[in-house]
Parts: sequence; structure tokens; C-alpha cells
Amino acid sequence: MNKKKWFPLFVLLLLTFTTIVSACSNHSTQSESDNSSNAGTEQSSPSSSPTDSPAKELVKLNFSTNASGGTLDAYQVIVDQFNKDNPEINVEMSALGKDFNTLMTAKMANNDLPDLFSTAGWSVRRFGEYLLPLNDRSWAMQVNEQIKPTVTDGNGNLVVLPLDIDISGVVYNPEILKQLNLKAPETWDQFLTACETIKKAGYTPISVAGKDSGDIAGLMSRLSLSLLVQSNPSYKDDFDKDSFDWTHFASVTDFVSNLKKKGYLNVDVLTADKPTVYAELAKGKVAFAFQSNQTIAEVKKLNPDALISMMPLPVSDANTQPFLISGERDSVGIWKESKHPKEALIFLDYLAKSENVQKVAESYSLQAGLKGVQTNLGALQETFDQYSQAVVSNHFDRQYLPNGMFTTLGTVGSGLLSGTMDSKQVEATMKDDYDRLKKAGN
Amino acid sequence: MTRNKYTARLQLYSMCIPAFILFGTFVFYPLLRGVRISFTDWNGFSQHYSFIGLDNYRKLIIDPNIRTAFINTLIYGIGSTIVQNVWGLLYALLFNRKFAGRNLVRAAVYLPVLISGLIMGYIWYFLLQYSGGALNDLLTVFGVGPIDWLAEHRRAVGLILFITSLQFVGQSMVIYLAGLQTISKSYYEAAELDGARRWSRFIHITLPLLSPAIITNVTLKLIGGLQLFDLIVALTNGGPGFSTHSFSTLINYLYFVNQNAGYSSTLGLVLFLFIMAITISVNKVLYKREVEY
Repeated sequence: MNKKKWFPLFVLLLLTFTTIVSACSNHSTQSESDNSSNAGTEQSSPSSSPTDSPAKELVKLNFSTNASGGTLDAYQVIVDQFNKDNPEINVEMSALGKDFNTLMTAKMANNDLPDLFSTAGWSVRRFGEYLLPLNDRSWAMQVNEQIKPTVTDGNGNLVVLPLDIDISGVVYNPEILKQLNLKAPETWDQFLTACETIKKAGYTPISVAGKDSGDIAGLMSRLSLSLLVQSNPSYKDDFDKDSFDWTHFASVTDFVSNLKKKGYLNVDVLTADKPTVYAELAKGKVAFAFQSNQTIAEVKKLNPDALISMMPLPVSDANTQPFLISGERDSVGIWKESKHPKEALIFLDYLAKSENVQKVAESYSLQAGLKGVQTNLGALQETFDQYSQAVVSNHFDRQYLPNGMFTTLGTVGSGLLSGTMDSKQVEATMKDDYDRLKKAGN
Repeated sequence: MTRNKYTARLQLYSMCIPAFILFGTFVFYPLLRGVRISFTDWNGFSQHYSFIGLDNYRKLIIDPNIRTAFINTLIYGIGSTIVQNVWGLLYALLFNRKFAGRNLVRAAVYLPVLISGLIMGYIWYFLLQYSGGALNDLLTVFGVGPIDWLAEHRRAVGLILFITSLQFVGQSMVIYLAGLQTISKSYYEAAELDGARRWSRFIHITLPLLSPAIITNVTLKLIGGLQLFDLIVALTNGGPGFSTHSFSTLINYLYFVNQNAGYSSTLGLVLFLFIMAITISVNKVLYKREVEY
């Protein structure tokens, strides 16, 4: 056989093999090779002393976040400052935006996570098994009591640094209510009466961005919390014992169907996106939106003069107090298998500095997750002061449902509003997903 | 077999090895993993899961959302194949004639192909949305009330079919134009001498000789239509409810949103077999009709 003929084939095979191996090799290998190449750059920097001691290698940390808008800007400022102050560590931030859940799902499946990552409200139930316990950090004692149970796992381990607390209820336009001589409703009966008056006056009582199933899920989750567990405290035990009878969910489905039937929802409830709802709120055409306070910040961006605020979630029983919902929003944890846990902890401690916590929390006018950090809540300061004594509950799905059911709430809500699902189908879907996801989570 | 022939053949086969390695790594291995996952209750990210036998396959048969997605997939796949082929052929016949600005018109028809489906979807969403949508603003000028175009599922499916066809008709047109330019004028001249009319010439000369172009177009459009994903995500996100989902968007929903990776893999496998069966059958039928003069 002619050797000349075999040589190109051999080279081709070698190249193919190399390509496959390098494509399939894991991220940390890539990161390490980057580190070694960067180490050379570090040696030439004035702060290092190449002659006295071996040069410190530049450690590269990956930090993935779902943050967007003002919060992302705040993170960027902090990361840039950290990189400047710590020349031996380089934090690379990846803003995954809307793809956060998808990409993190893939990373978890591959057990190849970033060194640090945001937990997007799911620090314990979704990401808990991948996070490094942080009980020994100096700021751990400072974690606000309101958020502490949400970010502490079953073994008492604090798994993230909570930068803020997302306290919300129902976003509303106080001006419309004032014009129509209405008070912020405290019970669902008052709420429905108010909706009727608002509708007759030509306004849209409730606006939902139904194109985004998350928005419908937000509505369903808030209603479930109030109509199910707040109205029937025994259901809390049923959820805890996995014995909840899903036929009780009819109180939620009937309520939602009624809102649609009576014309209290926006006409484009099934197709509107969030910017459309923000625009309608900014124009002062909508009275209520079952969304987080991020909506207030977005509406203010469109119209700084817009009169928009937050009220507690109404209840069924007039003898019960309306309540607020609290949960984690911007929290950051460390992957327990990170190759650089020491450096990741240095960054997390830096992030926990009062001024940095304040920066992130203020980006959406939220309360800080650490005690002793004062935040300017802007237009919402008065509202928070007004409801400072209000009862606070965790989100329905995060407290009572297994991880993954928020989207089920959105799906059944959308099915209900579009008429493609009836009450029975909704209950069956909720039960099936509850059982399946509960089993998968155990 | 002589030694030389044997080594020559071995050398030829070895040429295929890189292709086999790549195909095996990026197609066969994921496919086999997918088959394995389809027998589990994996949620898509946990390190733990259990085997549940044929449960996912049983559920597939009775799930009404799968039925809806199946019908929609057929509409998107077969519907857009028919629309784009007829429309593309008409464009090709029209723009094969000589007229001023012909290249400009051809480019204008082809241009939407270059836009991503996601962008196309968002553009159309802004045109069709209820509040502030360009189409509704126009209707309001004529005194017609605004319409929530995407809220009714049949209309939404129809609009998705129309928009994807409008976007990719340029691709069909280009393939047909290439096909038309390979047909020798002598056939038409001979037919004209024999007294064949325009319609006869089209049926007996143009259409049969366009068989390769038809096969290419039908195959490409079928596969593209059956896999339609990004346009649906941008326009309706599968809603209202599950009413506009295709198999592709439902697979994505089940895996990444509903955390039901096992069931999603089952559906993916069915979609793979479904596309393969349809494409092979259609190709067999079309190849039989291929002619050469």
C-alpha cells in the first residue's frame, strides 16, 4: 500500500477525533486552559512579583444570572469593581435572560454548573442539591428573618445570599379607584364589586399578559394562595401530607372563569404580552394587575407620572386581614463542585457588602435581604410603611407545590381562559403534575 | 479478491469513517439516549430517575394535547408544503419571463427567507396584536372594531400557516426557477409546432420535467413544516392553551417548562419516526413519477 495515500487519511481521522474530543470536553477543562493562558498575562502585571514567589494564577469564575434591566446593570457595576479590586480573580458574568431556566436545566442535567449562579426564586427546591452551604459566612446572621426560611434547606443550611426580598400583592392604579370613590378592596366580594364599577366606567378592571403563561400563573398562584390556603387553613396540612383533594381547586377555577365571563379581564387576555400590559397601565387604562412590583418599575419607565402602587391580596373572609406575598428574587449561590470555591466565596462576601446589596435591591425598589441595609424604595416607600404590619406569606407554588408546577398553573389557567380546558380537566392536570413532580423531587 | 483490490476497497470504506464518527456522535448516540430516556420519568435535570416501562407511550395515545399538536403538525407540514409549492411555482413561472426589474422582484420575494423565524414571528405579532397592532389600527380607520387575531385557535393556526408560507415561498421559487431554466426551449418549440396549447405545454412538458425540483421542494418543505418551531414560539407560544402547539414546540414545552423530559423524549421519538415515514413515502411516490425526455 502506498504510504502517501494513507497519510492524508490518517491526518483526517486525527483531526476528526481531536474535534470531537475537544467539543465534548467539559467546561472546566476549557476554563483551566484559559486560566493557564491568562496566568501569563498576570505575571507581567505590576502587582505580582515574579522574582520573589511563583506568580498567582488568574482564577476565572463564571457567574450566571437571570437578572435583566436595572438589576443586571447593578450586578455589572459590582462585578467590574470586584475585578478591579481583585486582580487575581476574574468574574465573568453571563446574563442568560429568558433562557436562564432552559440553560440551567441543561447544565444541571450535565452536572456542570457555573461557579456562582442566581437561583431565580428556587434556591432550595430546585437548586438546593447543587449549592454550597453558607452558614459560616460572616453575613449569614444578617439574613432577614422574612426570607431566611425560604433560602434555608431541610438540614438548616443557608444555601444562597439573598440580596433582596420580593414583597408583592396586587399592582393597582389608586387614581382610578379614587375617581370612582372606591377603596383598595380587602375582600374578594369588594374586589368583584369594584371590578363591576371600574368596567362600567370604561376602564379595564384586570389586565393579564396571557401570551406569557408565567403571567397567568402569577394570577392563578395568587388566587390559590388566598382562595385555598388562606381561606381554609386545614389545606396547608393536606398539602404537607400530600393528601390535598384537588376537587377543592374548583374554587380557583370558578373564580377565574367568572372574571372572564363577567368581562373583568382585558379583551386580549390570551394574546397580550407584558409590554402591552405595562403600556396600558402606564396610560392609566387598567385598574389591577396580579404581578410583582417589577411591573411598577417598568410602568414608571414608560410614564414617570403614572399613579401606580401595590395593595395586599384580598381575602375571602372579612374577619381575616389582607396579606402580602414574600419570596426570594435576587439570590446568588455557589456550586458545591466548583473548582474554585475559595475565590467564589470571596466574590460572594464582596457581593454581601452593604453597598452592593443596596445597589441590587434598589434596582427594582425592593427591601434588602440582609438586615441593617437600608434601601430607598422610592414611590413604594409609603406603601411599604402603610402595610408594614401586614401578614406575609410565601408564594403558593413555592410553599405548597413541587418545583415545576408554576408553569402548570400557567398552562391550566390559559386552558381555562381559552375554553380549551374545563374545571375537571384543570383539576386532573394539577393532580397529575403534582404527583409526578413530587415523585421526581423526592 | 486480489490483495490490491482488497486494500483499495478497504481504503474506500475507511474514507467513510470520519462521517460515521461524526454521525454516530451527534446523531446516533443522542438518538439512543433519547430512546432510553423515553422509558423513564426523568425531570430533565435531576441526577436521579426511575424506569417506568411503557407508561409514557401509553399516555401519548390518550393525551388530548398530543392529538391537538399532531393535527397542527400535519397542518403546518402538509399545508405549508402545498401552499409553498403552488405559490412558489406560480412565482417562478411569472418571474421566469423577461421584464424590467425582474431581479429586484425575485430578491424581494426571497428576502424573508433570510430573516430568522423568531424575528418574523415578532414582526407579525406586532402587526397582529390586539392593542396597538398595525392591522387593527388600519381596521379602526375603516370603522371596523379591533380583532384579537391570535385568540381563536383555528384562525391562529391558519395565520401561522400563512406566515410560514409567505416567509419561505421564495426558497421554493428559486428551486423552481432553477428547474425551469434547465428545460430546453426545443421541447416547447416542437410542441408549439404540433399545436399544443399553453396549458398542454405546462402539463406535458414543464411539470414532468420539473420533477427533480418538485421532489426537492416537497421534501424540504415537509421537513421544515413538520419541524416548525420558532415562528410559533414568537407568535403564540403554543397558546391559547395548547391549541397552536406543533410537536416541536410541545417537545420543548414538555422538556424545559413542564420538567417532563421522559415524556418529551417519547414525543421526540414519535416525531422522528413520523417525519421519516412521511418523507420516505412521499419521496417514493414522487420518484416514481420522475421523467426524462
